[in-house]
Amino acid sequence: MSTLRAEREHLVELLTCHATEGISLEDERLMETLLPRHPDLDSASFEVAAAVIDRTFSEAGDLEPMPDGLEDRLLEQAAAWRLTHEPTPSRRITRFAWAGWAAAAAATIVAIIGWWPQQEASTPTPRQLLSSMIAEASDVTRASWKAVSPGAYDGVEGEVVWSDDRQEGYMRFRRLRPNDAAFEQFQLWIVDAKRDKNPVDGGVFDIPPGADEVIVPIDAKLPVSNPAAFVITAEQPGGVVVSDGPHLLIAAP
Amino acid sequence: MEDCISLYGAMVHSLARRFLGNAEDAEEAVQDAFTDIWRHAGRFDPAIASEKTMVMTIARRRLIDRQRRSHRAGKVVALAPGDEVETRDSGLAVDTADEVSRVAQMISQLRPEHRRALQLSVFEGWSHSRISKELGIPLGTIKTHIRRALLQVREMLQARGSLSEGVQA
Repeated sequence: MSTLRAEREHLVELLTCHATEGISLEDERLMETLLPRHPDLDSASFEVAAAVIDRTFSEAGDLEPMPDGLEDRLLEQAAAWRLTHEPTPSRRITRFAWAGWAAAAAATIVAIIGWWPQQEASTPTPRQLLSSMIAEASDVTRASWKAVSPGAYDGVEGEVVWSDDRQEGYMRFRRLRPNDAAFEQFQLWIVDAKRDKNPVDGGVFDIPPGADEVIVPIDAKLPVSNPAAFVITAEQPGGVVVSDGPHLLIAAP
Repeated sequence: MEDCISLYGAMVHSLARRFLGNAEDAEEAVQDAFTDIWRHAGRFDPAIASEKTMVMTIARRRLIDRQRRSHRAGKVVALAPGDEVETRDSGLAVDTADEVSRVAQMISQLRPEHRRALQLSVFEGWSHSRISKELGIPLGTIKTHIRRALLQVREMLQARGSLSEGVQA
């Protein structure tokens, strides 16, 4: 049996276990290392398959009703969620408030990315917006992605395209592994040499399984001037205010 | 959000009870699961799977992670010989009938021991080693049954146009 085939079989085993009984952190890291080498495989599709099987068994019988009070608690939780996750532009944006604002903006970005393909031709796609920006902006800078360390992200291709004048930019990715958004999301950080040591949050995004190329609009939370680098990390769903890393990809104009 | 609770609350709660056993843990897990569901509500794409399946997927992820962290031993369920899992006919809601009815047909064609292993793993949340011990079937065979079922359903969904599209650039 070839090494690649054996590796693939091991990866399928890991994906199956991940979707059914869970796997250790060590196995999760191994799975993440192997996935880029087998781009037709992803954890999300195995989890969806398990969910459909679960539903099939579930709908064959009766559901256990929720206990008294749980539904009320969930409704209270929903109300609290709305309060903290809907953007309120009139508030002064403090460091603490950034977390909620960033999460709301990130959810909006993800919703737009998911929503965009469903729209009619009158709504431009990210690809169209990128093309427009390249054609119209006079100060476009471009930088290709490079893996920060040898390993799982070596095969990633693509670039960042940014315009200071328009404060607009896009990221292109090929062969970036799909993420399981219930577990993690990718987050962009923009290093602006004129700011303090903290990079600017460029927004969170997802890479869906099976996508050939993904174009993601950049959503910089603060104005950026002559960025020195764009960095990608993997964070908890919704992103973080300050990243502990590790840095996965970097693009330096 | 209120509709989500009304539509899927019982399903998520039943799932949590099966996986965690303890009522208090299950209730807490349901609340955590719904937080995840709301967080990802904006990325729902009906081309990938139905809304109900996506809710189930997100809830399962949360529960499997929680279960793994707590190293749950699992409840004991005695299986009577010849236990069958009946699957419904096509009298399902229109928006879910396709994927569930096709999978139900696939499951009904499995050999009883394969079906039982799949039920214990995916539906009851048992570990593969626990299933192997309870059913007296080698662990490798259990893993093969479960792996093949997931691959088969995955291929079925992909052939239908789900999973392979996702977000288009």
